[in-house]
Amino acid sequence: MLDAGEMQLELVLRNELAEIDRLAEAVEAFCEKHAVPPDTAFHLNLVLEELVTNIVSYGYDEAEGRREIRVRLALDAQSIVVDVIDDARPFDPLSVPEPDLDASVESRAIGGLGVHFLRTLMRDLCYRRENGQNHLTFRKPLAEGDPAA
Amino acid sequence: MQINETMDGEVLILAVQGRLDSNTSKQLDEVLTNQIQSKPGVVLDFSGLEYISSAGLRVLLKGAKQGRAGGGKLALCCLSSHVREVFDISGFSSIFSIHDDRAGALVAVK
Repeated sequence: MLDAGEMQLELVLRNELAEIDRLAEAVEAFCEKHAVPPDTAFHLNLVLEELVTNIVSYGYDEAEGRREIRVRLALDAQSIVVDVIDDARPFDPLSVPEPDLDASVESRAIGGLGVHFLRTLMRDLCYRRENGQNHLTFRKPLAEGDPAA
Repeated sequence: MQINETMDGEVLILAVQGRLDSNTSKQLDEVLTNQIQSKPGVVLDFSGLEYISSAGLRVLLKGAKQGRAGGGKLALCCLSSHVREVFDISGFSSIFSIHDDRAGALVAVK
């Protein structure tokens, strides 16, 4: 029987972009250790980078100094459940409108793509603001045949 | 991330290796912004690119916009399946000139 502690990853990141490296390495190592398919690991890394980059870039005032962003992964037989918790200003990613994916080069914008990746690649998205913190939870199915896997 | 610059005639080839993310995209931005305005064509060889996020796409879009506004032509080649998927999901596959190999990309910018 597997030790439940081994099936979870908890990372505490500082609010700086340089932490993206540590995040990516930790997620990849976790996925390799538990034989999570490379495609799934790639999707997790992509979505987590987008979310953490948004929080670091837009979540805080410059004067707020060092803050912490918590990322938790919990793996079971069917899926990986991810929690992202921060004490940045209230922000519900699920309120972001879908980007126009058919726009031409000239009129194309980047805003909203990160949340679009989240919506496309993950399932059961849930946001709540609680005790002065943003909590975002979502699930990545592992089963083949699931369009989000 | 590492960027190797080589020339093929007047075309600049940028071979990008590693991760193009919010932490590294500024590096490519500096090179591409400078070069797309002074070269007739730029090819981005992504055979060594393991990862791209919206921060990387932002740099490419900026380069493409500068190219359309009087700079050089831009073409991409050799995308891994993971990188290609990010282009597909974001709708970027249809706004970039994407080729299977470097030869195809070179033809597109000449």
